[in-house]
Amino acid sequence: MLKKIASQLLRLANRAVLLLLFALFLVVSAYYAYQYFTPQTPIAPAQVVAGEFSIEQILLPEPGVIQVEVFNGSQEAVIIPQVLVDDAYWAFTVVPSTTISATSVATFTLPYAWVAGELHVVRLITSRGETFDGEVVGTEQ
Amino acid sequence: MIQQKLRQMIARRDLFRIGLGSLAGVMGAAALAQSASAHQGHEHEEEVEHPSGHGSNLMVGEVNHINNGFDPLQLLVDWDYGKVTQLPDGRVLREFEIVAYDREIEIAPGVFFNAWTYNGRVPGPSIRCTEGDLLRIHFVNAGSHPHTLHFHGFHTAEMDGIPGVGPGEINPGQEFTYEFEAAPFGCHLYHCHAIPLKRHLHKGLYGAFIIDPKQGRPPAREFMMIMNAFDTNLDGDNEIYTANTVGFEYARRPIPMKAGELIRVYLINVTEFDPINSMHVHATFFNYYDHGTTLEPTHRTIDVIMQSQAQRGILEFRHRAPGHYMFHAHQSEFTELGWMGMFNVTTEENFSAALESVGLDAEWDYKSTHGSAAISGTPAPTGQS
Repeated sequence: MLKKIASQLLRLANRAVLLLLFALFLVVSAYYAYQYFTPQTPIAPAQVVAGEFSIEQILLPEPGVIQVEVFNGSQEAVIIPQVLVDDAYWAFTVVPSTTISATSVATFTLPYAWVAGELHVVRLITSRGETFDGEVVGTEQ
Repeated sequence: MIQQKLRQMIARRDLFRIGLGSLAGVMGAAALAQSASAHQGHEHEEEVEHPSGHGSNLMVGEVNHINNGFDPLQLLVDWDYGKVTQLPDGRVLREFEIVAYDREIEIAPGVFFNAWTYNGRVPGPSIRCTEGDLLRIHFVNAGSHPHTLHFHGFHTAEMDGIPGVGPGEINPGQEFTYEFEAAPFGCHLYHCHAIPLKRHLHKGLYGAFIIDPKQGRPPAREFMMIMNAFDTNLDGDNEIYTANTVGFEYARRPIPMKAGELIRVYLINVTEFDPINSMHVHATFFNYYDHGTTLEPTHRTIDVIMQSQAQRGILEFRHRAPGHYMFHAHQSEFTELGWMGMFNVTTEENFSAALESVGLDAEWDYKSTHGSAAISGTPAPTGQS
């Protein structure tokens, strides 16, 4: 009697081990299949392209105000000493600083009377004279 | 608030990548998150000064003129008369030393430009002489490219400073002495004529060449202004327009003058990439002498003058009452890109204060009112107004 019970338990255990092994096989296979079919997306900052400085978005939070959000994805600090709107140098404040560290963000705020329904071009100029442009259309009131 | 949103956006982007990514990705995201949070500790709002002149249309900050080696307020009046001696035949000989070399200059607050310069400055020295003087200009090329000195004026082909004629281009490390008689009187210029010409001019190789008439001109407060521009991103369009190199400098530091006195501006256009430039003076009208080669005005009672590239002329005007008066290119685009300044017109009593407010002194006052080469070789006395 005991022998019979022991034998059944052993068979169950074997089946459980087999099931576990099969489940493990499925998980590993799925992982490798996923790795194989999914493109490996590079991620900042380890693989960011040098010079990848960009205007992320331009916001019009209220009449007479333009906000420009930038991301410095490069490996070096970028200095933005001047900002232009529609080909005119313009006053601004910036958070945190005109010196934008590697892989960090900054927001420029300008007192500019943007016009509803019309295109405005924002240009950032670096200390080396390079320029980065972004566009925004004035929102209807 | 917007900062937080941006960080959240970046954080979301990172989480997405972590979900997909590798161990390197996780490390990268951690580094990015650390970078973003680091700013929270010392976030501040960098305040910006708003000088007077054109509301919010301005450049933020100030240029370091000491590092630059030249100050646009001094460029207005620092005439170079050369080393003066008398020749056996009685003529005046003026000898100049001009060295071309590469130099980084600050053309707007915080914006730097790899210039090619004459004597380390843009524009180069303002050569001033009297008609009939013999000029001997010893040119040394200490730059990285071949250069020349090409003067607008009468001279022989050998002294024309162009490639392939006479000495042609002067290579780095070489030198040449240009020699000719100063003529005709007028407001002229010199510049490099090496090729590619656009690049050599645009990089900063130009300067004023003023030949006074023998009989002189009526006493006046005189200024030299070269209208120039800079294509900082080398796309064939200028990012900065101005007079005497630094954008909006005369808006930040208005030029002092007295109500009622005669003002004479030697105006020269060397702007590249645009066919014309112009100057408009507010609240007054001027007489204009095209090229400065006549003693009678070629235009009377105008308030805007247009110049093609290398065109130049003399403006004469008076401001009747004290106040701040604007002057600028009347292409609005150029104005808003830096070519705008102010005259600070004062009473006699307030003039010293006006000088002091922009870092000038009695020596500057003397130079501005005694510019004629007839007093060449006479050092400007200090402490005299």
